[in-house]
Amino acid sequence: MNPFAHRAIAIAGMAELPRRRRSGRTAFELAGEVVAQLFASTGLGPADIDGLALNVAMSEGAHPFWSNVMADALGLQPTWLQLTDLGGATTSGNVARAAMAIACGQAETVLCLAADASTTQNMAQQTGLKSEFSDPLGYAGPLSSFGLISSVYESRYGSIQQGLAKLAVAQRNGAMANDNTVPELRKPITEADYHASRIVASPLHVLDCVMPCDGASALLITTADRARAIGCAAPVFPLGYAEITNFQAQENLPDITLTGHSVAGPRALAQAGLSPAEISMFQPYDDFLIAVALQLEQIGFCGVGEANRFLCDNDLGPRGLLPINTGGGQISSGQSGLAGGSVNLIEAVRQLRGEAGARQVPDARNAVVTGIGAIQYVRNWGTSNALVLAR
Amino acid sequence: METPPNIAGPAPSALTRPFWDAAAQGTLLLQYDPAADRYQFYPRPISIHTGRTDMEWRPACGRGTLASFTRVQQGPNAWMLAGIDLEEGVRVLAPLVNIAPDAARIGLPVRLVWITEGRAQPLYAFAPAPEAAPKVGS
Repeated sequence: MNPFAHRAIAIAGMAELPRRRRSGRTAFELAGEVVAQLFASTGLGPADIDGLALNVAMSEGAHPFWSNVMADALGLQPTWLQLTDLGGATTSGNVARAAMAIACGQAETVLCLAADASTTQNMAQQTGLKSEFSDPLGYAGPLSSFGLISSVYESRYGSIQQGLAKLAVAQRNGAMANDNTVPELRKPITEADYHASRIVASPLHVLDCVMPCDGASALLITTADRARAIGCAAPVFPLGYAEITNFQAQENLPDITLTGHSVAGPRALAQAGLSPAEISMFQPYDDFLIAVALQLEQIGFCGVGEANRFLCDNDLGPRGLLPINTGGGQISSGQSGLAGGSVNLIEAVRQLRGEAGARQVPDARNAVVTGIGAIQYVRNWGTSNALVLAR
Repeated sequence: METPPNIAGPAPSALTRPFWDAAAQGTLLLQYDPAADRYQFYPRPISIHTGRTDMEWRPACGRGTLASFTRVQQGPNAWMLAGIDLEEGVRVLAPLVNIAPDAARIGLPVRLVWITEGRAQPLYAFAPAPEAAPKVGS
């Protein structure tokens, strides 16, 4: 069975906690709270869950048995268990993995859990390449890489800062309407604020970047039949998924601006049988605004080098041609550590359930959600994935 | 001169010890895969071109061009970080020194230099080619 064909697999429940900086809580506590919410809203309990997928949590460092310990903490007895270390591509990747596991009969009702509390405690450590050949040379984390990418993009296509300023404001407007936004970001910004914000890695401003926080979310994935049986009124169906890791692996001198989304985006859309023009909204992974621009171009929403014009010419809000990160994305509502990919994913599901309130996209039929995982040596991101969802 | 913070790397592994031993002598070594006639950087346990392990260490000529750059600002500290395309056909992440921040442009010819002052381990870095000197900050 193809898990993405015939609306056979459904997202049948969702829950998300408000994001907080330095919550003082553990990933276990956040997980317990969000799973309790999911159970309360779906009428299910621990005995109904036979699959669990979760993320590596920076707050727990290199816990060697994280998924087992979490299953025990939640009272689950999964017949299928998945711990994913795809960084920001983890959560959409887990929805696809759960769908495949269900299609293969390994589980019927999967909990896709995302939880991290990395601003309360960060025990993550990256050995090898990063500590030996990056950090001592002046690598200051992902913002360094996105500064390098931006310098090439802007030298080739000209400044994109006007378009990114507009995107920053549009996302902030969405974040203001999102009850789960971190409180520090629930204040309006203007394009002038973006341009005036401090440079962190030229040409990147601080308002190009995410604010880390703690948070958790949970999705329930099951068969369409079981979704109906448990009374799910608004199932959301994965129609296409594609993923690629270490794009251009054997290329010594790759184009640093060309990402795996140039492969994964079109492939996921083709599997869903949809063209970019048929997509109701775009919920791209946004650790940096330039990443949204590259994905717009490489997935096919606009031409290569045209993101600035696309962003400047279009209403990016919920009533626009292509609403983008309607809940604020991570940049304006907070990046919950390695659970951060769920911010954009949950927003897409919420929109397709018709539960987005003041920021609801009218007649939302489908959405493209993406993930970005890890950063490679003097290249761009490691894992690129794209998930097409529809109601 | 703007240079990155002094962050010590880990003790070299068996794989990377020849690289750092040569760096201490002012030589930047690249892995060369004779079966593919191609180089690679950073040091890896296997050739990404052929999957073989019988690679050689060869000294880089030290000439390259600027492939990408950013000026990182952290509190009072700022430094230029760059991707450098070496003539051997590999890209290296390294500090870019002896350059005004607004003078950087893609394609600028650069030369290998070493940052040694106050460092337990010499750092390979790059500077605009005409101004390149064999030692910087020593």
